[in-house]
Amino acid sequence: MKKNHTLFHIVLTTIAAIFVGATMGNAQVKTGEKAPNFTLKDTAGQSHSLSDFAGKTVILEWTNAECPFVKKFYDNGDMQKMQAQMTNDGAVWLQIVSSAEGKQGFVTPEQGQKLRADKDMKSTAMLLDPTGKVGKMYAAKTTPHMYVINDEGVLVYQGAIDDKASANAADVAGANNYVLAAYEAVTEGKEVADATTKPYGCGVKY
Amino acid sequence: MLPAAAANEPTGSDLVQVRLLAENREIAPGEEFVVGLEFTMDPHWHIYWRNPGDSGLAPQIDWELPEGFQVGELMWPVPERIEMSGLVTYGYENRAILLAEVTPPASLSAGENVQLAAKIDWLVCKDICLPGSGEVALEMPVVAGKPTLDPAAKDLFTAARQSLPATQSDWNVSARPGPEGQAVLVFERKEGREPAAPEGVYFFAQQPGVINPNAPQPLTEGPEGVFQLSLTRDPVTDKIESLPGILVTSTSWVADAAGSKNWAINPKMEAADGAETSGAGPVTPSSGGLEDQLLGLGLPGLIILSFLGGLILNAMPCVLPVLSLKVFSLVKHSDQSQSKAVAHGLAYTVGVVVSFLFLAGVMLALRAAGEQVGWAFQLQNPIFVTLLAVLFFLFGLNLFGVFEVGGSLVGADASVSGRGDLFGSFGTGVLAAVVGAPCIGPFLGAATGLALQASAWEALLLFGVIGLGLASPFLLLAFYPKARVIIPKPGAWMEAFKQLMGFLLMFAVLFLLLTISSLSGPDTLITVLLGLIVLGMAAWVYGRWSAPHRAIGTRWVARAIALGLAVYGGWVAVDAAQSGYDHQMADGAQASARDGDWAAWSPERVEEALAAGKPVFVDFTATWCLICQVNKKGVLKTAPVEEAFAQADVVTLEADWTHNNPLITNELEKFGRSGVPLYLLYSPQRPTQPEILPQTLSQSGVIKSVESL
Repeated sequence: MKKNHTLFHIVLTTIAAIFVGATMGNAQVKTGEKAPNFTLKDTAGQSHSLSDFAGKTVILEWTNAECPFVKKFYDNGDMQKMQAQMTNDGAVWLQIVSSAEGKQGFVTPEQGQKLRADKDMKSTAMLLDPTGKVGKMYAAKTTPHMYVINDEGVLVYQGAIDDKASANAADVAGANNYVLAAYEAVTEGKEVADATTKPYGCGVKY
Repeated sequence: MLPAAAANEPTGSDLVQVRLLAENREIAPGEEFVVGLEFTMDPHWHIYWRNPGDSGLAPQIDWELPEGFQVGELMWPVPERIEMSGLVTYGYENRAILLAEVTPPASLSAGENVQLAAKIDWLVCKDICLPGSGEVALEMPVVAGKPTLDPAAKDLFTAARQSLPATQSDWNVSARPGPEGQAVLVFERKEGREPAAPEGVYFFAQQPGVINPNAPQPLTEGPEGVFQLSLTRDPVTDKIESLPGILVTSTSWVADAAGSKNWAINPKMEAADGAETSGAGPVTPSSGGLEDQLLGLGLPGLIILSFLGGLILNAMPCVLPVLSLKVFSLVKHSDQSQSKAVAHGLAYTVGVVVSFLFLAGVMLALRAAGEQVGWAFQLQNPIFVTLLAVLFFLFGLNLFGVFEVGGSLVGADASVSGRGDLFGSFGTGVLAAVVGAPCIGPFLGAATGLALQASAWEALLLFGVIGLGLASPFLLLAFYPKARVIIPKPGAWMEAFKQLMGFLLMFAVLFLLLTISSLSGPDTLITVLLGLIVLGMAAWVYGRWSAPHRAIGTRWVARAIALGLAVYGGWVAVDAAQSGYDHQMADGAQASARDGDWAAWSPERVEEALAAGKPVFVDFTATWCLICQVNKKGVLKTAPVEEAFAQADVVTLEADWTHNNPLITNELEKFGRSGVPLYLLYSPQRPTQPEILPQTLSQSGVIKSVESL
């Protein structure tokens, strides 16, 4: 009797799949596919499009300066060190703030500029996404949530910054840094070993 | 808002109070007991479950226990769904008590005091998140006798146990892969149990990164009280072995009065090995548009698809060789009575449908016996193809007028009445099915593929409907006399038309010879042709000396000679085909492609090329598949397409299924197909998810796909 249900299940599942597909509004970018283009203004008021950086490796970092998981990486300069290493290589590092106005992590252009100076951030630019448009386009869930895009515009990594899901800065040293590993793989023209991981951190404050 | 940095702002440690409690007042050596960690949160703040969901972090507990103590796995209460800015997390507000069993060593001596302690880190969130930590400790005396329950802790432990998920249910649950990106939980009532239908069901997956907490989880009800919950998978996890977690319902999972709204489950993923490709389970084939919409309708949709696919087969090259016969028979019968036309239409339809059912039945039986065969096994058999060639050759000679048979097999003779003529219509139907069936034309990829995954009865139903679709235009002509006015009336021109049709049949013979050449090697062809010539002589002898005006003795001698020649010629052809085929198989020739720069397909070649960063195009084809040949000559082997392939540095591979190659049969099934053609375009960025191109290719379509790699 169980066997006879097989087609019935296929049919049901297909219906359900279509239902789910139709109701799932949140876009998701797939690792291995072209990263969708976007245009945002940075804290200095300058517009940046992803397509401006064609031919370069691009790192996207969703950030929220007040989130303890973000502080974990900025308070001891770990994130700045990564930013410096990669931007010095010619890669592009874009911080994106998707916090809505009035929510934690939201910054005005001036506050963003000051934050960058105070924390000595080494990113290419900090982009402001108060409507959450780009965050939702990339289905950014946490801060930090990291994306690595190769020089052909293909998303090769998305997920956590490392494998130690904690807010404790002491855990940074011993962790396996996924972003660094993905970046190195891209530079050496190799396949990224862990291409999609589960991000951890505070929820993005859309 | 920049950090306010106010000194009086609470920290994560202030917002959560933690206590460690034991159910017993004392410890007895070697006797396990239960401890609880009670978290009390400030109003509106929450901590997280073991799977925090989209964001957040589960509390981390580091036990500090004396030497020899062991602590079991934490028991977590049923979490709540907490939605924040469109992200779904799993956690606890107000209070949560985690339980654990502690086993003290037997070597403890009464009278001593023992300290149990733990260091706990947590993340507490409202609209913002704060990390916190705390240390808890508990002193307990060791006693020799039976330990006593701590009355002060009784209520807390009772409450804690009530908030754990139930392990009992009146339902059986199983997990299986769904269509792409989905997993499915299936519920059936246990024998003799009548729990209410579940409603508002939600599944909390215990492992992080397996099920997307944000996606809806639609529950669908099927016949016989089977329910099905569709879950959207998180792309982070490729392969699901099992789905541990907690199911909640707004009704109850058990039939008794007390009820139980939650239920801890851990079903193994069915068909997790092998059948699961790219982590998505059996691939639901999709070619977009109408086909997908019809697939969405379920069984009725599949039936419509099968019918449409069968109908379209009429316009596919596959059946054209046979259709010439049918067209001739239509013309011949165009002036006959309505009832005769209907009878012929029905005979043809029955011939087609019965053949489809028969072929499907044989295929299913072979598969049940463990043979790796697909929907074309008959044309992968050299003897069958040779006999088909012999048959078509004889039909052709018959149309040429070399010989006549009373009540001809193909309904192509002069007499229009009699059962023999009906049998001719039936025979034409059989031929149309046998030759046309193996072509997986438009709309048929999904239908035939799904039919193989379904039960035998449903598969037979779908294949039967394909046959019905194939026969339907002629059935329509039979039932609607008005439609037949377009067909010219028979006359003297019929003789010429008949001979013309004979030539068309010779093209069909050529097609079958080509297939034999592929199956059994080109050297075999000469011998097969020799056999055909001898058969031709048999037909000539029969036609010339067995005609009704000959003396009875002459007729019998002629028949004997004709029979002898026919048997000899047939045997020569079949024997040559079979021994050639055996040679080919022994030489492993079926693995080699014959087409220049198209290398033979193998899974390793695909992997190699993808690893080297090159896109891969795979052509699943067969000599006997005429759609495949049309696509190859008209699209794949044309200059613009070849140039596009070269420009994108595409590695082109050909999987030749002319012979039955189980490796290819398997691969076809992975993509939900039971036959050829199948065209796959792999991008190195998506090595497990190739684009599936339509069965009827166009130059522009292929080039567009290649360019968008």
